Formats: sequence, structure tokens, C-alpha cells
Amino acid sequence: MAVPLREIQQVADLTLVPHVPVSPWRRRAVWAVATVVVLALGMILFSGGFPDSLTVDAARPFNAFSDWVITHQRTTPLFVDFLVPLKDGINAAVDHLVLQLERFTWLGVLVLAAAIAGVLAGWRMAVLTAAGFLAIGLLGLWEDSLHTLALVLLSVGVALAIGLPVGVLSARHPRLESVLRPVLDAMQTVPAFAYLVPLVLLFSIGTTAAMIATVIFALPPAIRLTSLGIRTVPETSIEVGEAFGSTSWQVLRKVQLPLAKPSIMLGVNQTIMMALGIIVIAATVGYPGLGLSVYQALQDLNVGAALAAGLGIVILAIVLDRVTHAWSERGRVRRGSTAIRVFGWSVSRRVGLIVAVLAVVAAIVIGRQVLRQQIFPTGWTVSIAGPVNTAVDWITRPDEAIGRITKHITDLGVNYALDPLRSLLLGLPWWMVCGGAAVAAWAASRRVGLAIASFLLIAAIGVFGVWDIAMDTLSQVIVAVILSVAIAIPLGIWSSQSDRVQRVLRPVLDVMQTMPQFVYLVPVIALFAVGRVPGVIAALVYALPPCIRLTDLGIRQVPAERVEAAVAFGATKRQVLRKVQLPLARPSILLGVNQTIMMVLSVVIIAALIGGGGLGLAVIQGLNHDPGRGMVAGICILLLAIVIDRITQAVGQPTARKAVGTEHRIGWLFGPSRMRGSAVQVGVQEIAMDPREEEA
Amino acid sequence: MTRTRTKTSFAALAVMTLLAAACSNVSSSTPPGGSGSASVPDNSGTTINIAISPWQGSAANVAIAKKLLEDKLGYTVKTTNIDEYAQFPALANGTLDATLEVWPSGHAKDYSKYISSNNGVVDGGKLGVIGQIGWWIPTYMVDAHPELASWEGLKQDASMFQTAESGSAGQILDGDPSYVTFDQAIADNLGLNLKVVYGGSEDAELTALKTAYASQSPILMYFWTPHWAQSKYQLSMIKLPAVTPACTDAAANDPSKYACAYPRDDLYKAFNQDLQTKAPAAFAFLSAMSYTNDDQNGVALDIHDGMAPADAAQKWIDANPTVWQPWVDAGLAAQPA
Repeated sequence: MAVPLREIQQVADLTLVPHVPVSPWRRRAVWAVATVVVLALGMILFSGGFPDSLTVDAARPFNAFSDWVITHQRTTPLFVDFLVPLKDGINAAVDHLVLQLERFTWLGVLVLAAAIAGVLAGWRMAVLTAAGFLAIGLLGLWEDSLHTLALVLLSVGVALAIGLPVGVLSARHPRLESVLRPVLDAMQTVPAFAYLVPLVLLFSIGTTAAMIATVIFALPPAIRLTSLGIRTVPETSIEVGEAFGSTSWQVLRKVQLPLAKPSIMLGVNQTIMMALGIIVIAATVGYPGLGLSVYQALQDLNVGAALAAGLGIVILAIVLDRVTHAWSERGRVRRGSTAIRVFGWSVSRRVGLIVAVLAVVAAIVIGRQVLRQQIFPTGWTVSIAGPVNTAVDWITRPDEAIGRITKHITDLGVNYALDPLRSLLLGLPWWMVCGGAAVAAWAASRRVGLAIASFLLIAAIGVFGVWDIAMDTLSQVIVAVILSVAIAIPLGIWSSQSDRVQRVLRPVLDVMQTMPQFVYLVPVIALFAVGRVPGVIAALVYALPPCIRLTDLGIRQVPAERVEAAVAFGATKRQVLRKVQLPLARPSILLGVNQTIMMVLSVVIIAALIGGGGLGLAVIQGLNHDPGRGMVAGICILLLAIVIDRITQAVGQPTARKAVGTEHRIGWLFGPSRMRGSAVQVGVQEIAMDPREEEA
Repeated sequence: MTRTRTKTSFAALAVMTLLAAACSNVSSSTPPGGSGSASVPDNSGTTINIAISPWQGSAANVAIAKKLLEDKLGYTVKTTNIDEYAQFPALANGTLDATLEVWPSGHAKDYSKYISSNNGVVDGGKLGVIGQIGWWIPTYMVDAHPELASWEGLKQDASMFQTAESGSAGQILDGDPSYVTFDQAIADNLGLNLKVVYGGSEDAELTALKTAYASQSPILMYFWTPHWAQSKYQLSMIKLPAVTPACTDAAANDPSKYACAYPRDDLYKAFNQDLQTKAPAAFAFLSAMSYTNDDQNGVALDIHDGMAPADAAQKWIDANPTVWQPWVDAGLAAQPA
């Protein structure tokens, strides 16, 4: 498959309007027939599935560890002198922060947030922040938001305290970098559900476990983007510094760090967005806040409440995203300027600062002495949950047309897509499935190493004894990805052809990406009952945005002169699209597909909460009865994710270097595709940061 | 230049803010429970952390306990919404102080691991609520197919419960995957062509039930009593082979051997072992706490219908002083002078 496509690409590069030879199609047909024959032979000649004799009981060591912790946690110094005090300290810190915020009263917190935004990022951001906090209050989410904000801020603080130094070190020591890379990959790829079991064992439930899960998840971009920033400081700048006799420390502080600031700030921004993305997971280990509201809404099937809490998260994300973005921009553009402009009035920064401080003090005093309201007054809140739920109830009335349609869709999906595919995967002998992964890896990358690794990693899933459920998960991923891509690419093309469409789509995609994935589960279960189909639908919808965006971006990035040249040769609009724009946008589109796959995988895992089964169910049940099995299932999710990610990345890589300016510099550094997605955006300064491409 | 100034401005902002907070400290809120009778002890420095499991009956227990512990015994009560799996480890190391509703049938292993072996958790006595998990169908199903009163009837009728998700087998709808169940083992060991499908939550089951009930169509589900839905819908429990020690013993180490009905569950409470020393009155109160299925169902139904848990609890407290007064008295008796 990949071979003929690559040839087309080369032709496209050479001739602008490529002449597509007939032979690739014929070769594809031969390949397809050959594949079908091989698969059929495999199913007929060999028995399917993974033989029990090859499996090992990988759960036993984990369970032994778990039993050891249970019996020793009250006597062993590791717990008594280290983990427990650490846990208590973190819990107290977060509780204290929330309490302190509450004592500032809602008015105080609102003005304080706006003042910080104003001092850092300008008065526009102050207004945005105030509006955001007010909206949160009006939606009745004030108290939840304080908890969420406290966790996010502390986690981001910890993540940066670890991430910045490690990033600097890894930029300076290539060996550390090569050790770190797979670790960071794993941190970003493993669904957080998988590491909850050991976290709960070691740190119990509550704030600490939630915070550590958040830090694990949010740390990689801080390290990666710091390292990237330092690495991309021009050699000459460093040489100048050294020529003036600076020590290595001075070069770092005065040359590299300042020049790397845009990249580091991007890392800060991404870290915040990812921390926000994981707060629903934090709720499953007992941390209150917006995440818990979403999680409980899922348990109560309360679409309205889920949506309201989801909106709260989106608002926080927008505020934090825009403020950090504006902060970094401002540092770059207005260095040295001491005046700020408010409605055309020029105000010195000092005056602005004094105004900000006075406003905060006044707000706290008014809040405490006059309003005497720590929490946003409930009388002012507007509930959107009620109306939304009324609408949902109306839509899902029994025996209505919509119910019949959705039932029909469910039956179709199960009978004609999910079941046949799962039967195929389970009917094939295991080595043929692993071999398929190896062939795909080789075709995509031409690297024997990747092919062998793919074979072994997929085989390991069988060895760990979860082959059947892993194939169940894989079948759901494949169906969701095909559908998602089939919807996203046409939408992306449409959006690239019309600015109006893009303008309408962009805010929708922003919100879609910022909504926690859990929010998607609630309405689909109301519409499609329980089972794999609602999970697949939630997954495919959740995964649409990056593919739409990157298709759009790729096409828009095609150099105008190439399009003009094609038009000059008499190509119609459709021909330009098919023969010039799409081939040239291919790397970007493939990147979008890669991101879609990873996001689909993450949702298919949590869809176990609504009847999706598969590896996700094993993780959730593992949390309950059999922690070892949960851990093993988590590891297998990681294996599956790594193989899929590496193969799909390799498909896009060779040509990616040609098309996107900074891509080749960044590509080798950024393992997981999703970070590369952001990197593309840095390169072209096109899309405002995509907040949450990286949910577990 | 600019950077230094930003830093300075930040410091100034922080200092001023803290000052403002400190200056207006005078009006800080009065401790809760101050308005009650004079006999309320001041335990506000002690925080009791109670687990809420993901079902409404549990929310009802905790709402009542929280209200009484705060208003009558003066404690600060914190609640944590947390799945069952994490409760025992958290009780063992003191992150949680108490959980008020444990279903013994699902936690035999935890009981021996944590309570019998003295690993940080103590048995807090019975809650008084009697639970029964089982396979439930709407009563109209039994009316139409009398053989469904007992499991043998499922042998011929399993196909009636087919869905796309369960394929050629009949579907047993289970709830939250975190619940502890034996349904697939029971079906397999009894030779029934049934497949467990996880709905994901209690409410997913209730939604499915509501839909099936409206069209009087077949549904077979893992369900339990006490539950407010038992009074809203007419449900019948399918009779499974009686629980015998032989059956439960066989399954003790290998859950896939389970082949009988769920045992009757005397729901119990479990506490961290240090609760008694940390908060003697709360320990005595929670140990004494005990009420009936009807009590719990009433509060759970109010919560289900949208009442805030605290209000639902207050409503029950106002109506049932004779039930809870002994709990409070036990607490006051244990309160150190």
C-alpha cells in the first residue's frame, strides 16, 4: 500500500501535476488479492487465537506486590517514614490552597485571577479571565472549579519543577535523551487508567494519587519542549557567548534559556492543557472538582450535568490557554516597552500594577465584609442541566423514530463491522496477526528493526494471556478509525476550500478537543444504549478534530505558486485538489490520521465504562478484584498503542521532512505523533495551540 | 528590565493579597453547628473522612451520618466519592476513616485480607439494611412465561434475551464494571446460554429497564434490593440454586467456579482501626448506626428525584428522631470530657 503512494508523492514533487501511472492500481489489486488469499489460507489451515501453552501468568508478581503492600504498609519505613508523610503533606497543601482561595471569597478570586492575567498578559486577557470566571460562577461550578484549579496549578508547578531541569539536562546529554524518549512515549501513550492500580496501592486514594497521575501525564511536553528549545538555539549565539568568556552556566542562563523561551512557554501551555485533560481520571481516585461532576454524571447518565461540568473545564482551558499564549507572545513582542494601552490610553506599567493590586485588595475586602459570600451565590446561577436533560428525554422517548434508527445503527455496526472483524482477528493464527503488524511496519518504514519489534510486541500481548480481549479492542479501534477518517478528511478538504467553513469549524473543534473524553460517553449511551457501538461512536467523534485540522492545514500550506502553475496548465479546481494539493498535503494528513488513531484508542479503552468490553474492561475490573490482571491489561494497552503509533508515524515520516519546515528538526525528537502535531503548528504559526490532543 | 519588573509586580500583588486576606480575618466564618443545643461537643478539629460508593443507597447513608456527626457531635466531615475497589486499601492506611455499606458477598477476600488478618481495617458492625443481589426480570415476563420463575426456565428461554451485543446468547445486563459479580460464572456453570454485557453504571441499567418496561419487552439484569426502583417497577427475582457452603467454598479461590444464587447480604460498615482513638464519639456513633431498607430507600429516592443529599438527609432526620437518637447518645457517651 505505502509503496505506490510514495511513488505518487515523488512524481508529484517532480512534475507538479503528476501523471498517475496505471501500474500502482494494478499492483494494489494484486496486493489485495494476495492478502485475501493469505488470510483465507491462514483461517482454514491453522487454528485461530493464541495458544494457552505459550502464555505466562504475568499477573502473579503484581498481585504478590499488592499483598506485600497490604501487610507491610503500616510497618515498613518506606511507607511510614516516606510515602505516608509525603501523601499527607501534599493533601494538606492542596486543601490549604483551596481553603485559602475560598477565604478570598468569590469576588476576590475572580479579581485576583483577572489581575494576574492582566499583569502577565495585558488588559484584554484580564477581561477574558474575569468573564471566564464569572461564567463558571453563573454555571454553578464555582466550588468544583476551585478544586480543579488548585490541583491543576499545583500539578503543573511540580511538572515544571521536574520538567524544566530535566529538559535542559537532556538537551545537553544526548544519551539521557535517548533513554528518556521511550519513557516519555510510554507516559503519553498509556491510558492513565492503567497506572491507577499501583498509584492507589502506594499513595492510597485522594489528592496525592490524583496529583501524581496528573504530573505523570502532563510532564512530557514540559521536558520535550524545553529540550527542543535549548537544542534549537543557534550555534552562533552560543559561540558568541563563549567568546565573551561566559561559563557554561552563564551561557545557559543568559543565552540559551532566553532564546528558548517561546518553546518553553509552549511547553508550559501544553502542560497546563494536559493537566486539565486528565482531571476526570483524577476523580476516579477520589479527587473532587469538575472531573468528579463529569464522572458522576456518567454514573447517573445525566447528560446535562456532564455537559455543564464539561463546559466548566472548557472555560478554564480557554482562559489558561489564551493567557499563557498571550503572555509568551507579549514577552517576545513588547520587550522593553513600559506602557500598556487601555482603550487607546497609554498607562505606565507601574500604574497598571498599582491598579491591579488595589482592585484585588478592594475585591477581597468587599467580598469578605460587604457580600460575605465565600462561594458564588447560588441565587445567581443558571442551570443548563435541566433544559439539556429535557431535550435528551424528549429525543430518547421510547418507541420514537430516533430510538429505532439508533437501534438499527447498533445492529448494523455489531453485525456487519465489529463482529466480523473480531472474528477475523480471532480466527487467524496469532503469528499471522503479529506477522501482519511486522509487514505493515516494514512497508511503512523499511526498517527491519521496527518490523521485528512490532512482531514481538504484539506477540507479547498473547503471552500475557489477554489475546482475545486485545483483539476485541483492536477491532473496535479499526472500525472507529476508518469511520472517523472517512468523515474527517472530506470535512478537512471542505474547510480548506472555504474560509467561511473554517471560521465556523474552528471554535467547534476547539471546544470538542477541550471537552474531556468522558463527556462524550454520556450522550451516546443515552442514544445508543450500552455496548460497543456507542463506545465506537464516542471515539470516532472525539477523534475527528486533529484529522480535520491537519488536513485543512496541509492543503492550505501547499505553496501558492504550485497551485498557480497547475491552474496555468489548465487544471480544474478538482484536478488541482486531487493532483496537487492532496498529494502535497499527505504528510500532514497522515499525521492527522495517526493522532486520530491514538485518540480513538484512548476512548475505546474508557468505553468499557459503557459496555465496550476489551482491555479497558480488564483494567477497570482489575482495579477491583485482581490488580495484577489490571496492570497486565494496562501494559498490553501500552504495547498495542506503541506498535500502532510507530507504524502510522513511519508512514508519514519520509516525506514529512520535505513538506513542513521545522518538521525534520522536530520529528526525530518528538516520539509520539501528538506532540509532532503541536510541533507542526509551531512551525507554521497557523493554528492556535490545540489544547488537548493528548488525553489518555 | 521588564522581567524584573514583572517579578516585582508579582511579589507586590502576592503580598498585598495576603495582607488583605489577613486584615479582614476578623469576619472569618463561625464554626459549623454553633447554633445547635449547648450539648454539642466541639470536635471540629477532627475530620472524619467517609467513603461514598457509586450508588444512591450509599449516598443516603453517608448524607445522614454526615449531617448527624456535624450537627450533633460537632465533627468536621469530609466525603470522598470513590469506587469500591479503592476503599479497603484507603481504609487500611487511614486516608478514609469509614465506609458505611459493604456488601459481604463481593468482599470475602477483602474481609480476610484486611479485617481478619488485622491489616488496618476493623468491622464496624451491621448497617441493618439487608441486601439481596440476583437476576431480576420485570414481573410481566414471569406472567407471560411462568417457567422464568426459576433458572431452569432460562434454559429454553435464553434466546428471548438476545441483543446485537450478546450475539446468539441471551443478554444479562450488568451495571458498573466496578461492582463485584459472578454472573458469567453462574451462567456457564449452570449451562445457560447467557452472556454478560456491562452497562457501565447503575443508571445505564435503569435506563434500559425504563425502555424495556415502556414497551413490555424482555430484559434480564443483575440487580439488587434495597433499591428505590423496586418500588417504582414490579420486578421479580429468578430463583437460582440455593446458596450452600459447598458452593461458596468452591468459589472462594476461583470465582469462575461459582454456581449458585447470591447470598443474602447483611450489609456492614468498616472503619480504619485508629478511628476509635482518633475520634471516640464518631466511632461509637458510626458503630451504633443501623436502620432499615425502607429508611434507606426513602432517602435514596429523594436523592434520585433531585433533592440535595443534605436536604434529603435532613428530611429523614426530622421525621425519624427515635431511630437516630440512640446513635447520637452512644456517641455522646463515648465523648471524652
